[in-house]
Amino acid sequence: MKKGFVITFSTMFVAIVILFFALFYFGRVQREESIISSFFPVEKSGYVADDIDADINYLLMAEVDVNNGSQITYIRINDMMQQDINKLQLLDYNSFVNDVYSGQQNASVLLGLDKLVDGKTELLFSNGLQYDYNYSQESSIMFYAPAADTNVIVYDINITVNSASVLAVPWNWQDSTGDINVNLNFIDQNAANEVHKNGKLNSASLNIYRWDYGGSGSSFYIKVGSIAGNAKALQLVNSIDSSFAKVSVGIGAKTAPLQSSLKWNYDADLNYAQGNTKIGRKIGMGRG
Amino acid sequence: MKQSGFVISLDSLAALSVLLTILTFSAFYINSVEFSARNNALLKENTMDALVVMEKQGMLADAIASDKVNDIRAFMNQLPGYFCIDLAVYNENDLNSPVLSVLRPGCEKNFDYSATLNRSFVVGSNDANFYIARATGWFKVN
Repeated sequence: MKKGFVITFSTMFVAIVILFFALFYFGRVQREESIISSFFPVEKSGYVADDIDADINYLLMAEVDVNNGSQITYIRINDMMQQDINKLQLLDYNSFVNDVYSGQQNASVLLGLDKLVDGKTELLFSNGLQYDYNYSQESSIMFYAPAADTNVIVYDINITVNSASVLAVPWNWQDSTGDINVNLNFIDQNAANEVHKNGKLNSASLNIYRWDYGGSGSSFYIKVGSIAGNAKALQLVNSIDSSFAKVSVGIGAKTAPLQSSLKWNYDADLNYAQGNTKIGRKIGMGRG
Repeated sequence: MKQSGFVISLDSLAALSVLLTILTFSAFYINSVEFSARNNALLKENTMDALVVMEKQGMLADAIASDKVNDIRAFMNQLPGYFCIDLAVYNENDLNSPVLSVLRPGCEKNFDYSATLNRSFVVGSNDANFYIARATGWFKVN
């Protein structure tokens, strides 16, 4: 009788342990599954934001690369200068995002592109530097720190114009007294006006290099120094009177090393919402 | 003696029933366990990654510009063997008829679970056109 009781009790005990194990295992896996599923909306929000960043960067064409070394920080920007930039494409893209893309992502995606389609695109660096592309009348580029000093030590300026200048009016190099180094490489279809020179300029004054392309006001300018209260700034102005004239721009700016990493983004807003997942930030371009 | 044997048999039967019931419940719970979220997350991540690479390597824009999908197909063939993907690209004005469609070679549209994701991309600069790339990923059934 006792032996039977022990066998029955043991069997029941093992069976109940198995049942509790099954219940525990089932519950645990369900919790894990729930946790895994809950991460995806967050992951998707980053994916969608990255998608939009990539499209807007493609439309605006500017390329930025930052090498933040221990001795020096080097910011390199490549761009194209043409009169109408991609303002209309940006407006079209905004419509596309509202009308098509949001629905495909099953999310609310709203872009605030007002500051990119008002005649100027602003690229903001996290250390206060700014890169503006003005396309309202003549196209111009300005690299500066608003109402402050860029602290640039060296500017590398590489310009290629697919038109022939008729006259070049240089600035006064100040190799002995200057405080900002400029490496200038300018090429257009008149070899006589090409410039390949490394020298110094006085950053307290406004230094202007000009190439004329025939016709009143049809010129290309490089300005370095104090520009409208912005110290050690760089401005390029393209007022060449030809719709075919395209200017390839490569700018390199060396500054003292930064204490933290640098981020740069367009002055445009991206707002994403899907369920409880929300993102509100600027259109990102990169970090370095 | 006969009565005692009958009671013991009845007792054994009851005990066996209880045991089987408990084991049945256990088996039910263990068999109910599914790893669908894990599989879904993996599928979605693989599909997202494939779309990101195809856009950022310029394969999608090149395929539209050249009307050739060789690079996309070659990329798909480099993906892990267990992963199947079907890509369709739509112009912004017509989301019903794809302008191009590529199924990974060796894959059949035969799946229990799949993940579908969309990604936009731009073709052209002065006259930009916008497209939606829609990829469906699933694990190959052997």
